[in-house]
Amino acid sequence: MEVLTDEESRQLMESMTNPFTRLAHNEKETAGLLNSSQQVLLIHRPGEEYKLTQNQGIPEQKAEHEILVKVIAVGLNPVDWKGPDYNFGLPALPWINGRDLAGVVVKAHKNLRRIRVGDVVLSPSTDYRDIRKAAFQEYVVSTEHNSARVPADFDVLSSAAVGVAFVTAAMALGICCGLNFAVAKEPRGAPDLFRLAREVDPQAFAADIRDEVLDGVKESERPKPGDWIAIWGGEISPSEPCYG
Amino acid sequence: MADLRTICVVDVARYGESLMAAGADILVDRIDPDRAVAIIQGVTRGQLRFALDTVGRDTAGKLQEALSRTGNKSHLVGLGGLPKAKAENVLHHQVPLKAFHDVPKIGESLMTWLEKLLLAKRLITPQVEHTIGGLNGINRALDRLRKGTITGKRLVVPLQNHTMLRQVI
Repeated sequence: MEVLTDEESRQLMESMTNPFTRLAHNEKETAGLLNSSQQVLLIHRPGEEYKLTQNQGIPEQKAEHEILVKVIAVGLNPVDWKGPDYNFGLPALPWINGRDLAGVVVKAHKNLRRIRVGDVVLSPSTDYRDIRKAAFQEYVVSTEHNSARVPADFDVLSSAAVGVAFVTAAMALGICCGLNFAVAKEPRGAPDLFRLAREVDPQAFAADIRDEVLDGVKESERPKPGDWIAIWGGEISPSEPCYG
Repeated sequence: MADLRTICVVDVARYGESLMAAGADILVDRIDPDRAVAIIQGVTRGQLRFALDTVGRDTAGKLQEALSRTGNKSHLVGLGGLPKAKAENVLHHQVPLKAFHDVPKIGESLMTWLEKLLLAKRLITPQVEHTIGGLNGINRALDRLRKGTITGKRLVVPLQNHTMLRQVI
């Protein structure tokens, strides 16, 4: 009779209880997913097409909370063509764009609490000034706090279209309007971003957003049950739970 | 939405059914913006204090007209631009996305919540169309977005290795 080793039985138990998609158990298994170089899409000049470019370096993690993700799918956003056409969001040239992706974590520090090597994650890449985090490349650096694991019963490719829209909608309502998501009963554990932001050292917020985050809406002005909100457009990005 | 009532200005013929199914309280067609403003003001009895525009400066300006000018401040969030002139008693907001990546506590709270919403199937996620060609097909896919021929869904680009990756385990 075949007997499982401790490690194998741990992995088996985990695969039976973990509700998220995992493609590997450890770095040994993800080693085969790593290459020494990658191809990327470069923009050389505003108004020009992106150029597929071979033999580029793999982006490097610089901090413990950073993870390396091998990209499975990229979600396209209007900013991916508007930026190059109207010359914004290009901190230097050539540059890499792309803001939404799903992929498998191939490197992660062991001290991370939530994300591990082998997890399939969606990672909204809002930090467009950091070229390592752009989605139009085969390997992307993200962070644990900017990645969500993809449930096993959720399509991985579709998950690449969820992140930026979700984050944008949640912050628009939770920070700019002060809406408290924590009152939701299902699922429990939704954040009250208004409160959370005030528990953080104000200096953690960049100077150009500090007023918006901490002084945009007053406690007394926060939405109350029965208040109205009007929304213009947004038909294709209702990824906010607002209607849930 | 956390006990808020929602009034949505959209192409009702096209998206009315899905937005009603998603729980919108009132739908207003976008074809006549002035009429849309009048409807919002009427339905909310002039008490609208929160508005979110996802389109651009002009429609954000229309929403500004619909906001209440008295009492507590009103709040207008623009994802695609804000009107140049601020109306009295109305505050303009741009989403401070930097906080998501700069401040781990904020990012982590949103990502753990997203995991819970996906697990509980409480998130209405967009329809997607897969494009071909991997990274190399992105120029062509973006051309379709540029021309405005893609409506009501998102384009997703599977990289060429995605089928291989999914068979690893």
